[in-house]
Amino acid sequence: MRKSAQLQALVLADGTAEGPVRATNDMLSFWGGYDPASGEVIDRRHSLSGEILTGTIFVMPHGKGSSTGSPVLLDALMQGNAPAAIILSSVDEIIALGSVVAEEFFGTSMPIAVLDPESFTIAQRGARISIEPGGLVSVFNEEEA
Amino acid sequence: MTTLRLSPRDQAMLDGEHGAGTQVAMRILTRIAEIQGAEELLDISHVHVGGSIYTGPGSLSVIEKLVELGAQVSVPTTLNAISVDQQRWKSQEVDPDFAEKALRLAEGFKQLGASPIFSCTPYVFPSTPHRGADIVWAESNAIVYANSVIGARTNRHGDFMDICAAITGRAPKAGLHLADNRRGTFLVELPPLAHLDVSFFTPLGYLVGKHAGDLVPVINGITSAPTTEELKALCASVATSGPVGLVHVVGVTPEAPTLEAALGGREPIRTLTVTTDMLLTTAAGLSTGSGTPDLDLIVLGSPHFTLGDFEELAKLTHGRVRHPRVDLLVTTSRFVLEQATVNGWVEDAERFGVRFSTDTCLCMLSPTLLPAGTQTVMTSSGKFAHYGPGLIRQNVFYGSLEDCIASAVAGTPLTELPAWAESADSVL
Repeated sequence: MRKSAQLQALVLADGTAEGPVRATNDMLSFWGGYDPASGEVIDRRHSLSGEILTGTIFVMPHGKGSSTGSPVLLDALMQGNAPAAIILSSVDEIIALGSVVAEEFFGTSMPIAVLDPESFTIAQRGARISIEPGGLVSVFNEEEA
Repeated sequence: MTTLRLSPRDQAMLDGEHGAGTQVAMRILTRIAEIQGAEELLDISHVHVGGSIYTGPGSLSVIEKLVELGAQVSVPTTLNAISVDQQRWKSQEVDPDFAEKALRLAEGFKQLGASPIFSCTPYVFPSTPHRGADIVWAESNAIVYANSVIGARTNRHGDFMDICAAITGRAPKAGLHLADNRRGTFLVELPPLAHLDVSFFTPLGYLVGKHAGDLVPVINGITSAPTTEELKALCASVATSGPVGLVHVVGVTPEAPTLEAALGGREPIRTLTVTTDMLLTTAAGLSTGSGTPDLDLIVLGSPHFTLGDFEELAKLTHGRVRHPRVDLLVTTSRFVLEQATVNGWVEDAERFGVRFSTDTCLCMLSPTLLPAGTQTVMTSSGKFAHYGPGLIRQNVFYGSLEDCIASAVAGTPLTELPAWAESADSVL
């Protein structure tokens, strides 16, 4: 792995995370689109349908659809089936709340961060990402052969 | 970044002077307000809680902790549909362990002081807010309906914000609470069509939601007043396919008396010119099933069936006989079911074989809640057509209510070209 970029994100929920990138341009509704008991994307029209996002750095522009995305994300987090972190390209209250409420009630949270459009595209192309407190995002690419 | 200024009362709540439950609610509220760049909080007059749906032990524990901490709502608060039918879950053979948790969640919200209307259509209840009121509603279809059709002001809130706002009586002054952010920015031009009905507004909403992004859509070209059910279908499907909280319909919704008013006198950022073909393609895409398999189950009422739906269902089922294999389930609120019964719109449907279920809604269906042997499912709901395949792990056919009842008679999914599509040539 080669570190290809270091980016500064706006922090919606703070924390540390590291994992493989799962990137999409498709918005997802966590309720009805993500199974908190397994981490599977269950929106059958979504480009990541059937994939397990547990432990990944999920890079997606924005959420859509149901307001119940917040409890679904909280329940996924509490059951160990949430992504390690979510990186967005604009502020999303519904997604942020899942982590904020988990932190306030259970002291558990996952980083939720927003990148500007150019940085977001770099993050989408990464192979692995690590996030440090304060929103420092490091993007790693595969070594070229 | 802007700084959030708190009123002395907000600060007292944050400092714990109004109890530990109010303190944590205010802490969550202020954290979200800061994320949104709000400079202050504002008073709200009504809350609709979306999060009475059971999603797992974590969110149940959040609500039970708020009860333990002694929190109480401070503004009128209504509850969304819950995950079981309180009166019928035993006869529906719902897993008792699941039912116990779903009922505990509902009970927790009741103890916090919320009104158990158990409906995803709070806007047909008498206590609904008025135009211009600052409110906090969750439940995506209700958010769009409140902003668009009623002209009340709410953001696209996540569940949990609803109850934090209800407890504190406050919300971030941001987003759709501010007049400038309510201005239409995405113009949707419709072709001239007649005979518009729910089967038109459903794919229209889904199409608009897909293209809206973070813009506020303005639909131009509706020439007759839509019914509550048509607006409900529009709001539900636009909220399903996109991150939309408000949609203006020129000549119909209160903030769009004219196109110029809806756009706030400015040019739209983007324009979408809709064709009949685009709407038909969108409607066809709402089905994940194909062919003409044996039909097992028809599900209706997502969002909850309202009075106009009952009236149409009564007409469509009158004097007809369903195929014996086909089961039909309608979800609605107790409030609307009682009115429909008084109006005489339930008997024909029940004779036809329709089962009614209240409190819960189709969104709570899961593989284990389907009748044994169910393989082919059909719906007239754009919302359920979208979410259903993931929720029940089966393909879902989509058709109009008329199609659904014709399919119940035939025993196989049938869809006809809608009257509005046939009108495409004749009205020009």
